[in-house]
Amino acid sequence: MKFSPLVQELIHSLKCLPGVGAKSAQRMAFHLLERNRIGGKKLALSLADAMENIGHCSRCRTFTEQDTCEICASMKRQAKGQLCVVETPADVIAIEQTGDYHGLYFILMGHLSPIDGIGPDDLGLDILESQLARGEFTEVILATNPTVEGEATAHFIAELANKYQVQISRIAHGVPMGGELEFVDGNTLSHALSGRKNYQL
Amino acid sequence: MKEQELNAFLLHSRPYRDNRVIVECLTELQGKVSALAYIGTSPKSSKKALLQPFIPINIVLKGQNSLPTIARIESLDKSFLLTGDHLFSGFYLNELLVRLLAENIPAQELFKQYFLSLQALNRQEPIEPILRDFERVLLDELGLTIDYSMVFEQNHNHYQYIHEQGLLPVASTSKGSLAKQHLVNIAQQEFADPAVRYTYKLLMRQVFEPLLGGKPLNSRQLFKRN
Repeated sequence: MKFSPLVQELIHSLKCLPGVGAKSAQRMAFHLLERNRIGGKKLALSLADAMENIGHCSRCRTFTEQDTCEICASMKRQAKGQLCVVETPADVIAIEQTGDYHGLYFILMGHLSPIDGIGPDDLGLDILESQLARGEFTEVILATNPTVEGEATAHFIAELANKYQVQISRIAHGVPMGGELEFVDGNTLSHALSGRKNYQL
Repeated sequence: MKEQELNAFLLHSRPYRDNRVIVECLTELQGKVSALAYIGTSPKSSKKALLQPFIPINIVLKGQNSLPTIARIESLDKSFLLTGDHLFSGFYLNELLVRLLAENIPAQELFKQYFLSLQALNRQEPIEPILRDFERVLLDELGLTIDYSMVFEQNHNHYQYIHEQGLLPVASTSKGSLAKQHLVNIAQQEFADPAVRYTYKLLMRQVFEPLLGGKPLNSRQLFKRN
């Protein structure tokens, strides 16, 4: 059996979402058509609006509809002179939720991965370098993921930043809160041991 | 179901659906193998930490079709903590293997050489000889061992490597020509002169370029700035 062209088109379009195949797309389409027309219309409008207007922040590369995002525009944050380099916008949200960091961010939108064809040029490192060259920052915090690729990315950026007068730091690796040493893998544990700190009394 | 236990190194992993990855491993007994691995999202799952490049691991493969599942995974030793250019060189080795090696063809010599190369990179030894040695063993494995006999037999002073034909004499002005004396040194494994090492590098590039189908290796980009 075939659906009418418009229904077919809707199902086909929904398949572009990650993790959504033919069956899920069909279920979503029927749900919107049958039970939630208002929600569907709202989705269509905001989707069209977002695709049209959202771009990258000219400073940190996060998603925003303005030229510079709210975080980058904040004078208070600019005055701190700290820059935190992360892989994805989701990482920014995670760090913001801790409430401990009040500086600016730079979002790479990925990590160096030669086999996948992602090189330095795809991470916007030229933008990062020009910001460092302007001497706006006193410290660069490398907060890429603790994977081999993340580590490579951190090293690459550190070499880049070394030319300018900035302090370079890397986030600590170790055992997660509430974790048990017994279940932590050997690699993490050896990182935790080699990066141990003096006990502050 | 048939299970198979293998010592391996992970070369590359890419996400598949929500909680799975497809990995490519270089194994000791089976050559390059692709497999599917489930990675839990719970913090207690340590699989993710083991599914990283440059860790000697032991994997148990289950299933007989072309994409087996990794049933168990254990680390055999500490991960090689490569840094800087040595890390980028590790990526270079992985990229060569991912792009050139055919799957499921046993390659014990290559595995041994890969292991040795990682150990040498870990000791921060000079990079060039490590890479050249690895490239030579990889070519042997691919059945493309460079034949230097032409250089000894003929009187020409300059040669060039042509794909599927080997080293052929060319005019000295021709682009990419390699000096005879350097090639003789390479054939005799004498690498004291930096110029010889450079010629060796050019030779390897000429050999690998057609194999890579004209697409350059991305890991080379990482070295550019230094």
